[in-house]
Amino acid sequence: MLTRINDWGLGRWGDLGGDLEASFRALDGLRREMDRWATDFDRQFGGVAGGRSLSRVGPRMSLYDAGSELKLRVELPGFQDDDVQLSIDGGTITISGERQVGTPEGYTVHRRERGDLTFSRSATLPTKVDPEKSTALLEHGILEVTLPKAPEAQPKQIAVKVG
Amino acid sequence: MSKDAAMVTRQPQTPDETTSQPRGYERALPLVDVLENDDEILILADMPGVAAHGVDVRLERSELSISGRQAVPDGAEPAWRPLEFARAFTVPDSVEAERVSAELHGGVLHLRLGKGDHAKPKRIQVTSG
Repeated sequence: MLTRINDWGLGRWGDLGGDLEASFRALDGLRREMDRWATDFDRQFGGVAGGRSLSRVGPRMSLYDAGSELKLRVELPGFQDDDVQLSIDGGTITISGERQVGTPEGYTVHRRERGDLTFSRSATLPTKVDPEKSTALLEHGILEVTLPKAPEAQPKQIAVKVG
Repeated sequence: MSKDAAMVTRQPQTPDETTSQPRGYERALPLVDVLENDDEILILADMPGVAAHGVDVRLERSELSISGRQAVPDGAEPAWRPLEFARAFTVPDSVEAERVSAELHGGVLHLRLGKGDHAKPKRIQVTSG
């Protein structure tokens, strides 16, 4: 016997996707990519109007300057290390990934919003970085990439002399 | 989920309550999959950045609500607002609080609602009169 589950979630909090642009403010040239994603996801998820995180515009992403390094954070729930690829080419960082959501044996699917996902996006780095010293850590569904700035891009302290 | 959490009496939330959410968190709907087999209902919810201590699961009568707050990393960009994922479901009365368990795996909440014996398929003996 299958149990019916009613969902109160949709519409209760309204459409929460409003300030996505703010999240992406630090990234250049992503507008077209975001538009393409919106189309893909609308097709895939149909009525999930209020969904956030991976829905509609792909993973939420943030790139910021943390002084001696740049930090990139990407929300990737349910991704394993092997599912994500990262490359730095000149002044551009590209991140791509794929998540397969299977159905465990013997289960019936009532609702599938999470789905299989494939994404790829690039961002222009605002300073030169040292790719050799860059690190990436995936924890709790967040990928955090640390990109140490190249020596010539490091902030410099200028001593002030009393004249 | 602890038994205490399930016993908490809680009025159903109204949309007005969204205005009283903790400052700094932005409310978001997690995407969910809902699956079922003979023994349980399995809800999978995407909650990236949420650790176990940030999760709250409550069952009051037939209302199941889940929420999870993203951990705020040290030195996070000020403009990056952490999310509070929240969603509520109506579940069958046969779901019992002590049969609910929750785990987090890589930013995905796995919520298992075990069915009581009376919710499982039963064979009814037919007797002739």
